Amino acid sequence: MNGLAVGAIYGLTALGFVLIYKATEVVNFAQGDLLMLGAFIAWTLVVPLGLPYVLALVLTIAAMAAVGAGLDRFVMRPIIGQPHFAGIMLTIGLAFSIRGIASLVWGPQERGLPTPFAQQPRNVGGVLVQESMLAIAAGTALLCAVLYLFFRHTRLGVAMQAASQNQLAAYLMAIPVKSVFTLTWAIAAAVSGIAGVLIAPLLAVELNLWIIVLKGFAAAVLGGFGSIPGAILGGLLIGVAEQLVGVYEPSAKGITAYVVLLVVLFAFPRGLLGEPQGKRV
Amino acid sequence: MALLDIANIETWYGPIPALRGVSLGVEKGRIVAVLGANGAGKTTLLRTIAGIVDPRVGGVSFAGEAIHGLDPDKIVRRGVSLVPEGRQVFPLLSVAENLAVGAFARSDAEEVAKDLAQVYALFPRLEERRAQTAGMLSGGEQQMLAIGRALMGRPALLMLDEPSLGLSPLLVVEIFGAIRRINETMGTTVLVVEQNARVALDHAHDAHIMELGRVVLSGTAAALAANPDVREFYLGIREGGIRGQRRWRRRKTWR
Repeated sequence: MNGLAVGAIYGLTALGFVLIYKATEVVNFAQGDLLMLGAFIAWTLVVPLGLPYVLALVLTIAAMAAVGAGLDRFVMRPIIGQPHFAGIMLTIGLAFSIRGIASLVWGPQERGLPTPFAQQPRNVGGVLVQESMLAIAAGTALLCAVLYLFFRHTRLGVAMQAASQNQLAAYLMAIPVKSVFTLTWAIAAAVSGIAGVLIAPLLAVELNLWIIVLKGFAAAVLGGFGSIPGAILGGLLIGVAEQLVGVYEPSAKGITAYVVLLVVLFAFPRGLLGEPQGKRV
Repeated sequence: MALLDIANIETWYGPIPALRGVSLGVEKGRIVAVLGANGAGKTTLLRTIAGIVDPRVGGVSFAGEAIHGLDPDKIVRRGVSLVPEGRQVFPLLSVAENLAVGAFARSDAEEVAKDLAQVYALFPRLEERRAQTAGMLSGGEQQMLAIGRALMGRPALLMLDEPSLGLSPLLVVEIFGAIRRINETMGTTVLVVEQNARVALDHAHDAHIMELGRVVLSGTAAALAANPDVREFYLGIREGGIRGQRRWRRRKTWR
């Protein structure tokens, strides 16, 4: 269950990658730093400002969405139409900038984010599970359900899918593609903010939180980079595998994600849920 | 006044001129065909009108208002829809979702439902396959979907870029028949770019011929179909000389 919870966080990070990649064909390497930023914002709201957890969560989501939208509007939009390489370098630069700003504002020390969830385990169907783990799992599931309903059943969601599949045609259907990009960045940043808040009870709120991005990236590739359910599945798989390996051989825990990735890519070169082959052009 | 008025536009791709001063008007309610060989600038003409590229010189006005320089989504909202070359359906969305996206800019749900029924009546095949993902449709069905999707925006002017591309002769006639029906029953003005001159001249009211970025010949479709140069160079009909052969290559009279 711990594995599933950690995996859910990896999955959410991967989800951020996939959302932005599908819409704008940019791989956003600042995803982990957005997660870190979200955790710091939540900490600031809860500890120095003393806001209740739920309110802090909502405000963090809003703040992160604004950050994401701002990044797209003022940083990413000027390079639309430039080679992919430029976008990748830009997001790497963004990652370092966010990290630098966070270290200036909050400093390098570790902090704990208090949550309303109890630490003592609870009995769920015969398995002892920490409440905070349940919160992570439930939060992720809820978020996935909301995103699924949004993308499948709202006009804006379907239009966003359309824009990610064929930008030109989306333009010709009167979809304001640039605003769709901004919205995608806002959603992806908000998702990483949520991930940052959810994972805070497991780890400390500190600058090195961004490292989750490496696992998230592995999860996204595992899922087939471009598939939203694939991203979550990949994250869960890596999280569980890590937990299991950690029990039997703690020293190998760190490399598990990448071993799983290699093995799966040997068997499924397109990732677990890669784009279906049956697509006529 | 013409519904669409193109005044002396020049469009460049970097250092290369694709349109070298094109002027033409599209009258309301007509089907207008633009014919020409590869590289004549037909697609660029449509892309310029749709706002995907901006003209360097000249202007485009629609219903009396200048539309050049606007973003493509703004131009669609004015009532000018382009069915792009190669169909460009959304491959992972279902047929019904593709059509719904076509009505993205509209909020009049009842009228949208009416238009959807009209599209399904025009292309019954789309209704049969409405739950299928668009990427799995055949080329002809994708073309129908692309046209239907554009109609869902209820355009005043429908522009089609090579609707016959990659389709069997039978399907080409079917698609053009549908274009004719759209024009007659919905009153939509149509501007269609084609390489298949025969089918286009058969179905259009007016036609223009483009070569190397210029309009070289304009007239009613019937007049052009009777023009000896058009007959020879675009329809492949040779008026017989001695024993059905001629010893010299005919020169086009417009050069």
